[in-house]
Amino acid sequence: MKKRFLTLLAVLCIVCCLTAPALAADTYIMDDADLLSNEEEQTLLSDCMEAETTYACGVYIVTVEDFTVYGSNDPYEAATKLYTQYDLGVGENRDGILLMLSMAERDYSVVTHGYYANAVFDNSTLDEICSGFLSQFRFDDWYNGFASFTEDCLAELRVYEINQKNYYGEDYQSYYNPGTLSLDERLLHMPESYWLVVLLVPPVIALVVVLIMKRGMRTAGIATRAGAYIPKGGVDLRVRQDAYTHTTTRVIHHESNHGSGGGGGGFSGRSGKF
Amino acid sequence: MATQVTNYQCPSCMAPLHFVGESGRLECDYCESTYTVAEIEALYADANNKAAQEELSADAQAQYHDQWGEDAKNMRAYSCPSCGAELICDVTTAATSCPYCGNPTIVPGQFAGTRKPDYVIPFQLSKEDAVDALRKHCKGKPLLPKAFKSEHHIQELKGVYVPFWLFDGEADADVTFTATRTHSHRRGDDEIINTQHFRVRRAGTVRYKGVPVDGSSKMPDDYMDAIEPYDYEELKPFAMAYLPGFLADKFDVSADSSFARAKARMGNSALDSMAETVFGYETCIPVSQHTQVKNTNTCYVLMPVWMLSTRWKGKNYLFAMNGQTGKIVGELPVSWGRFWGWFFGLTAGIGAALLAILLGSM
Repeated sequence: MKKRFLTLLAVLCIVCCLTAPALAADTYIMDDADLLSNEEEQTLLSDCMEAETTYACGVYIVTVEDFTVYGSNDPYEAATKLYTQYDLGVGENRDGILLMLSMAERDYSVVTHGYYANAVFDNSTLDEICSGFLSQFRFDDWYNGFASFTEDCLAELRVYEINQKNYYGEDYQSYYNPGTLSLDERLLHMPESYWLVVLLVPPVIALVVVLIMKRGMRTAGIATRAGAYIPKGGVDLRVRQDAYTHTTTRVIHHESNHGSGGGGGGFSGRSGKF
Repeated sequence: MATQVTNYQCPSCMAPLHFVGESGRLECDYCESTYTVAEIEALYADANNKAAQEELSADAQAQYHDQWGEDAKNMRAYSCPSCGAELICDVTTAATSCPYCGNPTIVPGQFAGTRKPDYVIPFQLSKEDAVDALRKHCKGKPLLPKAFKSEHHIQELKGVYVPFWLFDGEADADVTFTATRTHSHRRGDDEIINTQHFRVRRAGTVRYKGVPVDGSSKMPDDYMDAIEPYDYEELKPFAMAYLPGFLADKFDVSADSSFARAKARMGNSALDSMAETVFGYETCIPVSQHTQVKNTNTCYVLMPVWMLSTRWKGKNYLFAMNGQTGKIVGELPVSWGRFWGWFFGLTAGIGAALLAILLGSM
């Protein structure tokens, strides 16, 4: 009996050991379009796991046949839905970066989420990362494209950590988690644009309000209208002409790339064709 | 020789009578008798006619001309029937009170012949209502100096029947607008915006009934305009018995001169009326507009106005209250300390709220 139990336990351990990497791979790489082999996934996985364990920032890859099945005509929106649906991200702010490929129309989208991830992957950084993987995807070189993505992400996280440690010290990540920051610290790191809003908008609103109040101190004024003295049925409309003359057309081109915000804790990123 | 005026006296005790808006009757403060307007009008009809005739002849003016020079043109002298004192009044004064015996005094000649008002709206609100309205008017004014409410003194409070012209008219308006409707749709990354342009024309006639313009140069036009409107349902055929107890002036701005103001108001409102019939467009801009206003009828009416003058820190503040509806207008002093206090307080409050929102969003 004891021997049988130990055997069962050993089998369970082996099964767990074998399936754990596969489960972990599913967490970081969701290859529904089947672009990667299992070996390739395992190789990419090491970068993803290092990003999470060392830098507290998730790096994710999702491939789909057609992103429109996620209820959006915009690849960026679809990627944000996937990020939320799979509950991706690390820590309280769900920091992470996701690359989504949709094969039907060759669309891609990169979205970042969380204060820390948005700060690391700003506009210029995303440009570099995108140009790296796009140059591979154009030749349908999926593995090298994804490898470029995960390696570039990891490299950016490394560089950012070095810079931040030099500036803020070892505890630099707490600045990207507002819940852990004191009021003084948050004020210290408030963007300049926020300070401009705080300093300029209130006096303008206050001035408008007090001028309205001052105007209310004088209630006399010359009447310019006599609408109150039009009796019921006093308007006799004789001519009512509405003539169409012409149509003008204006086209506004919207770049499908979504500019990276970088300042807030929500989503930012970009999308396009590969 | 002074011209004739009439004191409305109580038939029972000969004390002065005055019109009370709340009861709509003439009342005697001494024996508490009350009389309808019709009763007193019938009683004083002969006396008023006689006084009016004398006023129209106005030969008494000549003797003052020598003594007062050019000023005499704007003055009239009357003899108070109660105490015999000589009253020197403005040429337009139609009702006043004797400064010696305090009796309400009417100058019937001011309303004789073609100058007689067609209608009058009797006072419906009392002196106490006017004081109360001023107190309420001062409430809820954050910029009003705190001391004003307690330190200001009502220098003068008088009920005045102000002469108004009521103009009926028709305004022909013809307006052309350019209007647009916009539709947009997306094609790939492009947003296509189609703007349809229309030429819209509206023409018609707008009728007006009783656009008021005050016919007294002494009354500030902005105050008289601001206390509008009056309820014309309460218009009564003119009778001098409504005047005792109040001041009254006859008009000194003619109907023709006053019509210019009514005409401008009618024209503007006619254009508004045309514009209101244009809908279903996103933009609508008038490109040409023509109005032609004609006067179809004019009435001469006396309207009840309470004029309140207060003095505070050496400056007079004037208020006017509609004696029928109680609407009060005027100018209140501004405390610059409060002005800047509110400015900096609001700036700090809004700034703190904005800061909290922005910090929360970080």
